[in-house]
Amino acid sequence: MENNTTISLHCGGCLTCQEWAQLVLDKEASKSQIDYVRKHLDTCPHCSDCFETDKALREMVRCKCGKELPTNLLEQIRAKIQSLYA
Amino acid sequence: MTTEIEYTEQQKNIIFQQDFEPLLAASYNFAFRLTLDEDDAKDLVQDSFLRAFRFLDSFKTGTNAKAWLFRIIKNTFINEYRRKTKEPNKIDYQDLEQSYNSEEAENKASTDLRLDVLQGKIGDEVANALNMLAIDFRTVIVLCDLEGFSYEEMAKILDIPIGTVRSRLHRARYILKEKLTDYARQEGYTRN
Repeated sequence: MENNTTISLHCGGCLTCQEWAQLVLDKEASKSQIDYVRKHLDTCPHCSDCFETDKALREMVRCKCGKELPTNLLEQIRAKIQSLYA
Repeated sequence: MTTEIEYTEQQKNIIFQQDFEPLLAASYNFAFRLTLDEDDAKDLVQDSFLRAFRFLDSFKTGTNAKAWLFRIIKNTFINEYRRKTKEPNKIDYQDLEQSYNSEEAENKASTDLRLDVLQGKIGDEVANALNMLAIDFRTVIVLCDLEGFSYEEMAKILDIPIGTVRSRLHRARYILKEKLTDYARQEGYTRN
């Protein structure tokens, strides 16, 4: 019996799932793609693991990659616009 | 084809306040991820907002202000800032292609980086790993994951086909995972 890693290299279902899972996570998938991915994830621990990791990675980027806005930047821009275009 | 609308000064001020000023924080973040320098990011945002105001007649109210503004930021960056940007340890493109085209390598990267490691141990390393990506890859990750643009919007902002958006995103995520996997290994969070 093949282990999960071997299956992921050779099983067309896993390859399709991993490609379409990206579309699902990016909210770009069609309904049939969403259904396919959901069904496959229910039966494949490897793809399910990858899906959760990919999902977490996107959340990490969202949570950890923000940059605090410098104080007064808006005021500086308004002042510049006033001086140039008023 | 862009249709010009002649707004009055008062209309311009209202549009700017309502549609563009709320986008300042996102714009600064995008500018910082492009330039990787706080002062350059401030200048880039300021220049881009001034440009947006100047060319406001080509913006149609009710359309996507964020995509319109981000396109200006991207163009301003390419035209005026890209030369002086400090690019961190650029990735060799040929190495990347070879690595990317290896099915085994791809499978490995997606299996080595596990959810528990990502969430528990290396979450703070994500920003560093993002900054280390080559700019074209960094940009699509920021636009997609941080700013929530659709593939179609990204294609318009970056002037590239949707297929290229998808392939860049795919490669960017692959490299990002590889970098985080390497980091996790160095720190002893994973085996191998």
